Amino acid sequence: MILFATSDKGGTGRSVTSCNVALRCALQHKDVCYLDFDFGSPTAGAIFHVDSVARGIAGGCGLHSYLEGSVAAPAELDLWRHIERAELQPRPAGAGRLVLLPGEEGGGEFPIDDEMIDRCQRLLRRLAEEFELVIVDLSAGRSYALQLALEVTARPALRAVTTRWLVFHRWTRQHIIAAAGLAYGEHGIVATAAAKGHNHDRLDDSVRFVRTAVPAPESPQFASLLPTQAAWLQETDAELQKLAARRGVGRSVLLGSVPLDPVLQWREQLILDSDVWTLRIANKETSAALDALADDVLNDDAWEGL
Amino acid sequence: MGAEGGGCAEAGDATSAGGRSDVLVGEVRTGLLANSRALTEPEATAVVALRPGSQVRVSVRPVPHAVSPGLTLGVHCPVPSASGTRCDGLGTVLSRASLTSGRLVQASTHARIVLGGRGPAVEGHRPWAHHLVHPGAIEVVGRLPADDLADGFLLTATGDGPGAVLDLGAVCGRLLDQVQESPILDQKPPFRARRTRFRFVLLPCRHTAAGESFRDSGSEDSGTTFGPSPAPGHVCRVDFVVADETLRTLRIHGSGLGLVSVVGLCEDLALHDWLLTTVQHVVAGSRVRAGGGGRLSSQLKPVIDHLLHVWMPAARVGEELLPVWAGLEQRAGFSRQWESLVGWIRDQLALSLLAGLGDGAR
Ligand SMILES: Nc1ncnc2c1ncn2[C@@H]1O[C@H](COP(=O)(O)OP(=O)(O)O)[C@@H](O)[C@H]1O
Ligand SMILES: [Mg+2]
Repeated sequence: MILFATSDKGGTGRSVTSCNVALRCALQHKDVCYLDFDFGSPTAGAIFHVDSVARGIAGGCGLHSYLEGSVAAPAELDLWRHIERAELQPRPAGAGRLVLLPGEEGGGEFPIDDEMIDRCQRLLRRLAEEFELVIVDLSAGRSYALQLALEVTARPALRAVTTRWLVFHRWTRQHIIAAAGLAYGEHGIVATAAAKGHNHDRLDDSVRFVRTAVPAPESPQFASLLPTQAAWLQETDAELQKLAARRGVGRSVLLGSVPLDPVLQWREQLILDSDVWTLRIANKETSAALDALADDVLNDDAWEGL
Repeated sequence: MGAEGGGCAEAGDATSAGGRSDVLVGEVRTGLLANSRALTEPEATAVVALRPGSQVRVSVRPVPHAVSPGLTLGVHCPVPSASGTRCDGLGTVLSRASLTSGRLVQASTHARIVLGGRGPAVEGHRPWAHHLVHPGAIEVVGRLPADDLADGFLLTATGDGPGAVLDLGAVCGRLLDQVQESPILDQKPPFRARRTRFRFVLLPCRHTAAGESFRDSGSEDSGTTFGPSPAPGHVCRVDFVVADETLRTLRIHGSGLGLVSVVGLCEDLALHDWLLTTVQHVVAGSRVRAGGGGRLSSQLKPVIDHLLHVWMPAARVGEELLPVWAGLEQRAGFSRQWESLVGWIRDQLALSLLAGLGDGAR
C-alpha cells in the first residue's frame, strides 16, 4: 500500500505524525519505508533522529538526484541502524523493516517531466513490491510533488497498487477550510486526479483526514483553566466540528486525531514508550492516538467506501 | 538496442593466454512476482516475451521455467576496478528475465570482459557491427589486472551509486522492474519479499594457487578448492560470500567452462539463495511472534502455499558445474538450512492441526 501524506499548509504536523506512524507500523511487524518527497524542506532525517541526514542527504544520491536521472537508484537508509535513540537499539525483536529514502540537502521544488514520472512510477512500484507500507511525505499545498504523485498513480503499473491519501490539518477554522479545499476544492486532489484519468469515486474513497495538535478540553492539561475559558474551549470545539462537517471533512472521513502534545510542541521527534512512561514527558494519549492511527492506516475497514 | 540472435554469450572460454584474459562478470536479481497467484505457462510466457518475434524458452520439469529472449545493450564506459584504475570498456551486455514456478522472477545481466587485448580494440574502436556479432562482450582499453576488475565488480558498496562506471546491477534491476510492471500482473503478491542481488565473476584458474589455499573464514563465507590439475571444463575454486542482507557474491576460478552454463548456474544459485533468505526471514519473524496455543502464524501460510515446493537445487545445472553446487552444499549447507526451516514449518503446521482438533473436541 502506498500512503501519500499531504497538507495544504506547512507546519501542520504532517511529517512528525507520519514518521511516528511509520515507526509504529514497523514495531507492529510491518515492513515500512518512508520517502521524503518534501523536496524544499526534507525533515524526516531529523524527526527519525538520524543526524547525518537531518536536513536531507548530501552527495547527490537522494530522491531528487534519482528523479532527475543522475543515479540509478536513490539512497535507502536502514533506520534500525541509524536512529540515534538507545531504546530502539538493537532492532526491537519482531520489528519489520524500517527504511528511509531521504530527500536532498539544499534541494528545492522542481518542475516535473515525463522521464521523471517514469522513474517515480518505477520506484514506487518496486517499493510497493517489497514493503507493506510505503509512506510518501509530500510538500505542502498544490506542489509539484503532489502533481507527480497524482500523475504516477494514474499510470497502469501503479493503478493496480492500493494507494491512499491522508490530508493533515490543525484544528482551527483556517486549517479546516484549507484542508477541505486541498482535497475537494478547485485544483484539489480529487479534481486534479480526475483530470489525470483517475476513477473519481475510487479516489474519493481513498482520501482521509488527520487532525493534529488538537487541544482536548477534557484533558488534565486544561484543568487549571478558568470556568469561562473551559466553556469557551468547549464551544469553539463544537463549532469547529460543525464547520468540518459542513466542509465535508467531518467524522465520516476522519482517520485519526492526535492531541496537542508538549513534546511535539517543542521538538520534532519520535514519541517512544520511554517518553511516556519513563521520562514522563509525552502524554499517553498522544502515544495511544499514534498507535490507533498506525492500526487504521493499514486497516481496510477504516477505508471502506462511505 | 536489440541485436538479433539472442540467447547467451556464445560458449566461450575464460582463459589466460598471451597476456589476454577474459573475465565473466554478472549480476542476478531475484524477487517475488507481483501477482496474487502463480502464473500459468501461457501467462508466464507472455510476461517474459520481451522482444517481439523472439521465442521464449519454456520448460516444465522439474519446476515450470520460462526464459525471455536475450536482450543486448550497448555500453561505453569505464569498467569497475578495486584500485580505482580507470579503463574504458566498449561492447555490449546481455540480459534475460525468467520466471520459475510462475512465482519467482529473476533478471540477470552479464558480460565477458576482454582484458589486455591488442590490436584494433585498443588502437581504435572497432565498428559497432563487430560488437553486435559478439553480443555480451566488452573490450577494455588499457592495462587492468583481472583480479582488480573482479574485486571492483564484486565489492563496490552498491551498484546503484552515482558515477559512470559500468553498472550491471542497474541494468538488471531495470529489467526486473520492467517484468514486474507487466499489465498481466495484478500487483497483489501474497506477501512482501525483498529482492536479492547475486553478483558473480568467473576468472581463469590460478595455476599456482589451485589445490592449495583453502580459505576458511567463518560460516558466511565458503571457499572451496577443487583438484590441482586444470583440465577442460574444470572448476578450480569457488568463493561464496553473503556480503550483506541482500547482496551475495560468487567468485569462480575455472577453465574451459561454457559461459552459458555458468550464467545458468548463477541464476539457479541466486534463486535458491533467495528462497532460503526469504523463508528464513519469515520464520525468524514467526518465531518471535509465536503466540502459543499452536496457532499457525499468518505469515507462514503464504510461504507454505507458494514457496516450499520450488526448492529443486541444481535442476538446470550442467554436469561440469555440479561440483560448484556440491561444494556450496558442503560448506554453506544450502539444503541443510532449507531442510531445517521446512522441518520447523512442518512442526508448526502439525501443532496447529493438533490445536484445531483440541478445539473441536471441546
Ligand atoms: N500533536 C502535536 N502536538 C504539538 N505539536 C505538534 C504536534 N504534531 C506536530 N507538532 C509540531 O508542529 C510543527 C510542525 O510539524 P511538521 O511535522 O514539521 O509539519 P509539516 O510537515 O506539516 O510541515 C513541529 O514543530 C511539530 O513538532
Ligand atoms: Mg514536513
